[in-house]
Amino acid sequence: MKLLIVEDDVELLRTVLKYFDSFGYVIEKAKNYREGFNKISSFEYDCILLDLNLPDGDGIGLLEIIKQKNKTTGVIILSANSSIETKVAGLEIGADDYLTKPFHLSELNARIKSVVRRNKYEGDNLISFNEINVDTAGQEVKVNGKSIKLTKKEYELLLYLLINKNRVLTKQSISEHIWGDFIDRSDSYDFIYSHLKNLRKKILEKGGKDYIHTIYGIGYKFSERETE
Amino acid sequence: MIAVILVVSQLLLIFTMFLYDWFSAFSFKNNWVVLPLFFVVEIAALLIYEKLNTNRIKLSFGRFIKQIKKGNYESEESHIIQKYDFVNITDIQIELSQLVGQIQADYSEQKRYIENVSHELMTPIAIIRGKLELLIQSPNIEKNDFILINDMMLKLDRLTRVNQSLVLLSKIDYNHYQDKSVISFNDILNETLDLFEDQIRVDELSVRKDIKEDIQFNMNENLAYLLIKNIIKNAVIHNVSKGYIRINELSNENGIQIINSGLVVDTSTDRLFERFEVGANNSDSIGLGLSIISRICEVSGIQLSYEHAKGEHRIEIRF
Repeated sequence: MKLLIVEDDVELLRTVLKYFDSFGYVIEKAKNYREGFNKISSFEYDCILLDLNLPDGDGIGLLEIIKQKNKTTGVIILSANSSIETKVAGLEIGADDYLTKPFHLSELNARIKSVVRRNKYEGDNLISFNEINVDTAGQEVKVNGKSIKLTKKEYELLLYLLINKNRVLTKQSISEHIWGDFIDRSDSYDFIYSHLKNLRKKILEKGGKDYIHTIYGIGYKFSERETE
Repeated sequence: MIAVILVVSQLLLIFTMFLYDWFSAFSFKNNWVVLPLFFVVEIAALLIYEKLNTNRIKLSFGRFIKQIKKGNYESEESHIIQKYDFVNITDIQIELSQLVGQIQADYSEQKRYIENVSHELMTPIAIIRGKLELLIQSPNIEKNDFILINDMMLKLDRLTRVNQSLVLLSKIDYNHYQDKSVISFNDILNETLDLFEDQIRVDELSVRKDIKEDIQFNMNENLAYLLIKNIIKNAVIHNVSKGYIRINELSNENGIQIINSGLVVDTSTDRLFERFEVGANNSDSIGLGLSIISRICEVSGIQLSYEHAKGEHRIEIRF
């Protein structure tokens, strides 16, 4: 997967790059409008992360160029402006998603995956991890070939864990992913726990292994082994 | 003005002289009658003139004050204060014009400041959060260090929420949300209750809705969502285990009443509405929910009343 991130804050750029380093993504960076414009004109990307406030131009302009060139390139706006109208405006002019700073990197990863899945690889809706198969088109989950019935929240949780496999996920990021930022997080930690308990049980019932590990004090991790 | 006074008094004088002559012709030569009469007439004329003039200034001044009151300081236009013909108070006019100009400048400066603050704070917070997320992926972290990192992340969350809420309050103050549309209360209510489904289930709250027909009202959609979400959130979060929430429509009025069980609160109602005023049992809350509720009601022309007694909280909004 090939990504471009257009962001004027070098430190944020470096942090995002480092996080995605181990995902095996090819990721390029642009610090301003001009660099962004050059990259967009010369190369193809699966997904572009775009900050709207650039020192030498408006990110909206770049968005229009991207969408004119290739409609299937996913665009996620990264903005410090959390207001609903800006979100709506961004989506209206063709962005695929909108993420407000400060975002969780695991959330950014989930959004990228989702945008690329929608735009690019039609028919490639299968996410697998050993005996667990998730078909995102029909929202169907199979363990060892047998269907399991999950609630909406259990499904969303499983998908989030799978997409961010082998990563420590904080309770805050899970909470925000499932309930949005309106709910006070500390209230939702118990709910994460109970939904995960049910999810774990359903997977084990069909002979699946327990890949959901609790990381003491901070959150959870979906991986083969508890300690690596 | 002065010219008018002069002309009038000149006319009066000529008229009086004429009267005088006329009376003299009839050998009515007693000055002691005519002269006082002249004075009386002149004074009466002056009084009437003054009265009319004062009224005109008052009217003009009233218009001027009204314009200052509803003055749209957001506009960059510098001619909020038009020219008024109360000559005698030109000084006030100049002073006030300068004052209003200053307010306008402060207003846009403050607005820009808020926009900048929110932007300039969010990027560093995003960087810190990102770095902490990188840090927890490291295999060398001790168990206890995770707790330290988690504490930092929680504080970072709080910082974010406080900042977002304050920016929101300022935006409401600056009339950012103006477009109005017809809002269905029931739709927003159901959506909100879904959002708090887990809390309601875990705390075993009983929720009773007593609304026969859809309640509709005219207001900004974003504000309507924020208002109802914040009210329901308060009712859920400040509740007690196995408590209740009752949502009723007001009889005879277009409005809603939300009653919920909760803890006994010592803080006075007025103080709860103040920013950062948090009930004693609530270290998690940032104390801006009720401020947001009351500001939204104020700018939307919604009547809000809130009272609490013996562990029951009652909030009423009238559209």
